[in-house]
Amino acid sequence: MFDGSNPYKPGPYQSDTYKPSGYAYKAIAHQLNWSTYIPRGAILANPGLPSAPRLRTFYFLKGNGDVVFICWNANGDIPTDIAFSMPADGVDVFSAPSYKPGLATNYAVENITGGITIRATIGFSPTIFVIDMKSTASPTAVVIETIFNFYDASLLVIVPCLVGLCVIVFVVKERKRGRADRQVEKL
Amino acid sequence: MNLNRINLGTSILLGCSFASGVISSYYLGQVLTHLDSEEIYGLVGFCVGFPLLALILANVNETIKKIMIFASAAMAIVGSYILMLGSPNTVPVLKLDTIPVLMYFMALAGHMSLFTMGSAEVLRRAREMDYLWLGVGMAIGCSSVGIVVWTSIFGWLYMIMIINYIVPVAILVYFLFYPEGKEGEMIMRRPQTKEVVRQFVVPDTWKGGKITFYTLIAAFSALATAGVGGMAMPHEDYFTSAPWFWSFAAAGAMAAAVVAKLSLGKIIGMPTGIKKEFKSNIAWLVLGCVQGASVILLVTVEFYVPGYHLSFASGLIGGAILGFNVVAYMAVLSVQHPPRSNYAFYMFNTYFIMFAIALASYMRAINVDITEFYALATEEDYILYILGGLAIVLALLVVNQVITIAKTARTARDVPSIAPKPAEVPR
Repeated sequence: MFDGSNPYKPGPYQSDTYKPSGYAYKAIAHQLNWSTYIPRGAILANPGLPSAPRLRTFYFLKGNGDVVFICWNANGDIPTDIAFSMPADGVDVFSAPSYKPGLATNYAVENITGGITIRATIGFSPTIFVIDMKSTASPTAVVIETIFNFYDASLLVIVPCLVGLCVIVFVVKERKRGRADRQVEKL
Repeated sequence: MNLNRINLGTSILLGCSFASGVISSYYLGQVLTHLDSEEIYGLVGFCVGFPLLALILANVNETIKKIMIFASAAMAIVGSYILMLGSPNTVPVLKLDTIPVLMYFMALAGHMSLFTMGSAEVLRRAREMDYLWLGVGMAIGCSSVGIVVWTSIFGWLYMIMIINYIVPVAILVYFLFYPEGKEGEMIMRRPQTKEVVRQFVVPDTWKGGKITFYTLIAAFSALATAGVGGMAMPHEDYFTSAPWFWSFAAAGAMAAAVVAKLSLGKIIGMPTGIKKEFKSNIAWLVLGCVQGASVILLVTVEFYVPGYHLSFASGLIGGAILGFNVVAYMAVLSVQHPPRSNYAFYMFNTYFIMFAIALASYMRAINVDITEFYALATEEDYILYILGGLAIVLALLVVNQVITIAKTARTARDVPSIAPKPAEVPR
């Protein structure tokens, strides 16, 4: 399907020439009879934070209710760490370079009450999570945690405060000057 | 009036604006390699047009100049925010979308004009302050560049974020230490008024041409050290080599400030006249020869001595030469100003230094390996032509200065020796 000689090879995904696989995943899902492609199945907890990872994500539901979650870092070579929790019994992860079962090393799973928390380091090559959902669980969105860090604090709080302080100092000093000038004019 | 407060405020503004200009242009070369043809108009419009506009407006009066400092900083911060929120944080830098790339150029233009205003702030007051303040300001700037470039190991946008701390802090300190009221503005502007400038100008009719040659040497020096010195360097080495390079640039800047204090410190306060012309040209001739020779020697060694290019010594020596030549250039400008509007003169000339440093980042981004780098000198004759051109510029500067010195020597001897008049300092 991905062979260069295939005239029906999928085109680039949203002008992302490095990843021609966007439509391909949908095509695979269709062929494997994975159920609905759900665009909002994977979301960031706080997408507005400047440090929120820039991920390309795909979310599919298999016939048995398991979730197939595919993502990669649109930021390029510098890996980004993500974490999300699901009401699941376990997860199989497939990642670069081999994509063979059991060889992925870029993730860790922690058992929590009612499910698991998955932490992974996401690089430029897609990582595929096949999440074994609990039989009682209903389809759940993958909500990727985002933490308010120094980068966010800088851009959202500290730098605007510094700039505001500069403006205040400038305005106060200029007003003082205006007042003094008016007094001199009166005299 | 506490002059040390003003000296501190202006020096910090200079240092921080230099650092922000260099840091923001550090990966410009990599951005330019992915540029679409129509985006080049944005680059030219912002990075040439805006500093020119700032130059014109900042000369009107002190209030407008302060507003221009604000406007430049605002442009830089707003541009960098849009860039940071819409671009991948990678090194090497990937292709950016049109809006972020234009915002990047806008931010860069803000930083460039801030540097020209920061240097004009210090240089217009050079008579009333020690040259060491100039050295301290530039040393702060160079050291900051070294530290901040290292943080790009986490992605180039971290560097851009840190600049957003540097610029507001510098402006805050500058405004806090700016003297109060209209009287304060008059005190700040006084050193650039034509009544004052006229008393200390060097009456040399050939000055314009000589400054052109000298600017070419200083700009090429920045290009050779920061650009040629980094060609064929793997981008992974940027993070580790930059701290050494720029810490030695800081040392070079301080060394140049000491040399300027010893050679030009008394001359700058001398009243206008033939004696000042004679003495200042001798100091300029010596400094120009040292600067020109150091650049020619450096380029020769980089290309013709195998193993020197990209070595540790190359980084240290290149950094020291860069710092020395930039500060020496600024010190000479502070003496050789025109009889009026010296603020615009400082802004105009120091722009070329920042332009050369930005161009140097493009040279670093040119895709050559070490074999191709040496081939530029051994298989092609480009380097010989460039060295020849530089030698001609240096020769023209030297010949002009020798003629001026010879013309003024006899008269300068006949004029009774006057003790240098200390500059009038407001109390």
